[in-house]
Amino acid sequence: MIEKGGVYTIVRGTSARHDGTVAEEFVRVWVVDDQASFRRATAATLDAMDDFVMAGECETGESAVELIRDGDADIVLMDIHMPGMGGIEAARQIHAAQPDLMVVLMSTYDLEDISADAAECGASAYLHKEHLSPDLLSRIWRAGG
Amino acid sequence: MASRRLRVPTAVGSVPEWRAPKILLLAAFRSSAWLGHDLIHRFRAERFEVFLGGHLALWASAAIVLPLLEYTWVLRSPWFLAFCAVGVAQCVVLVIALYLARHNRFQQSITLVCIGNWVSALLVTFISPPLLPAMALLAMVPVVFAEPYIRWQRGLALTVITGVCVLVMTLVARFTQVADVVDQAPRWIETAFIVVAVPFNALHVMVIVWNNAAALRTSESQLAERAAELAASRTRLITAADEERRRLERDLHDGAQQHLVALSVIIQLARNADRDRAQPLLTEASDLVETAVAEIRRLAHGIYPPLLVSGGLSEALPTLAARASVPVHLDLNGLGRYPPSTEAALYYCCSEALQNAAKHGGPATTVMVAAHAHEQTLNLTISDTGRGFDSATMGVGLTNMTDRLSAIGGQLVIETGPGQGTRITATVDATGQLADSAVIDGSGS
Repeated sequence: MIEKGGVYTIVRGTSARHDGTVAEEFVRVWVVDDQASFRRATAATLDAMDDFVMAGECETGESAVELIRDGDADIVLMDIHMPGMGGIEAARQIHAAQPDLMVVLMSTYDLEDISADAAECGASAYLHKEHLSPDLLSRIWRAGG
Repeated sequence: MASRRLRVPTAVGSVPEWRAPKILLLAAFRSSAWLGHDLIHRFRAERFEVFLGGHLALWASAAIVLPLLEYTWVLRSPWFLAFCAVGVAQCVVLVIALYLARHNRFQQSITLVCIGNWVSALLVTFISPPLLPAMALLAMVPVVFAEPYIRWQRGLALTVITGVCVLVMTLVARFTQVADVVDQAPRWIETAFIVVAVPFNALHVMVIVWNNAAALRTSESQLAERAAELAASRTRLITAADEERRRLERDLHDGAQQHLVALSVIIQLARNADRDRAQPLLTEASDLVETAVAEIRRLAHGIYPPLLVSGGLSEALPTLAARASVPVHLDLNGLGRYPPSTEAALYYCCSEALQNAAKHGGPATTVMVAAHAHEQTLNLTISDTGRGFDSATMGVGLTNMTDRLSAIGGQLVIETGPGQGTRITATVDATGQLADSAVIDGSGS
């Protein structure tokens, strides 16, 4: 895992390849977080970006697995600590169903405090929530390609 | 009102069964009002009074009633009257000793009984030297019994004096000229007395020794039970403390921290945005700050209510009642200030009971919180008109309340049943009540 300004690359996205042509179309971001305040912050961040758009949002891992269909989104920002299934299990199921979809795990904890399962659930990166910014989202997206 | 539907608890009902040696399970002593409710003290007092009562009965029957009967029916000898006079004197001494024991003056009582017994045994031996074996055993009885009630120095002194007394009695019996009246008395009376009194007194001494040993065993098993209960309660308290820390961590993480993280993201955005786009972001940031502050205030209040520090229970409980989601009637007359641990434990009990009433009581539940401060104890009663529950299915919350109270030396009585409402009575020691001037004003900004 390599630290890059708040992004921890967990898995080099061998399977989560995309064509990288960000200039031609919008990158659709789906946010899964039980905290409304952070969903609002993400929406504001995406609003400040020209080439990223909000594809949708939901509050639990279960609803994420159910709602995010093939082709709905390019990146899923997944909170780890949510009631019910939790983000890691949701990421595993989404990754199993849609290997091309980039899943980014997030939380307010440091990486050391995150369960080791996070590294093996198919997520492409771990993002400390307070570092979320337009620049960082772009870098994560580019690193995935 | 809630309390109409509920039985009033008796304080003693909550006390676990006291397993005392059989002799002490006399109902008369159990229910006696002039003995306190401190079980260990009561146990000692009861044993002492049983001993003194028995000793009095022994002297009265053997040294007053029996000689008088013999004087009346068998032989009109002054020997019996002398015997009787010693018996009366000794009985007076024992009555005074009983009076002293009832006023918890065990040291004086036992010393008086010892002195009385030595003198009486000496006099009886002097009057009738053949009674020496019975009298020697009788002289030992009080000092054998005294051990748990006196300091060891006095116990040693009494033992030595008893030894000297027995020695003197032996010398008296050996060298005193037997009076004619004694010689003239029928031998069978003397023989009968010795044959009955010696084994009886020997048995008496053994019963006392056995009784002391049984009391020791009972105390030991009580201590062991108490220690086991303390260990279990300590484990539960630690678990509860860990649970509380975990809850705090979750509250901080899911509450204030999330708002602050979102705030940090938005402020970062606002810094990089142009003027027009920054304005709505700052409005959003301002909302988040307010939410975070409110969240932290709520959390801090949950950890330790500020009013409890500054104003005590009489100020904190009304606020707690006002925030409860069920109607609460308060009767808090006469509440003073108590040590912080006492106030916190009672506040916690009240808070937990109100939460339980709101959560499980059902619709139209009302709660009555009443505090009664006595000289020695403080009672806080929380009764609700809710559904009640089967007392065998006590939840973690109620166990925590019990543990928390027992940690400060208090007691919790829970009375409930399906359809009967719930009545929780917390009783704590109020002797540590703080004078108003001693209360540290902990109110901060």
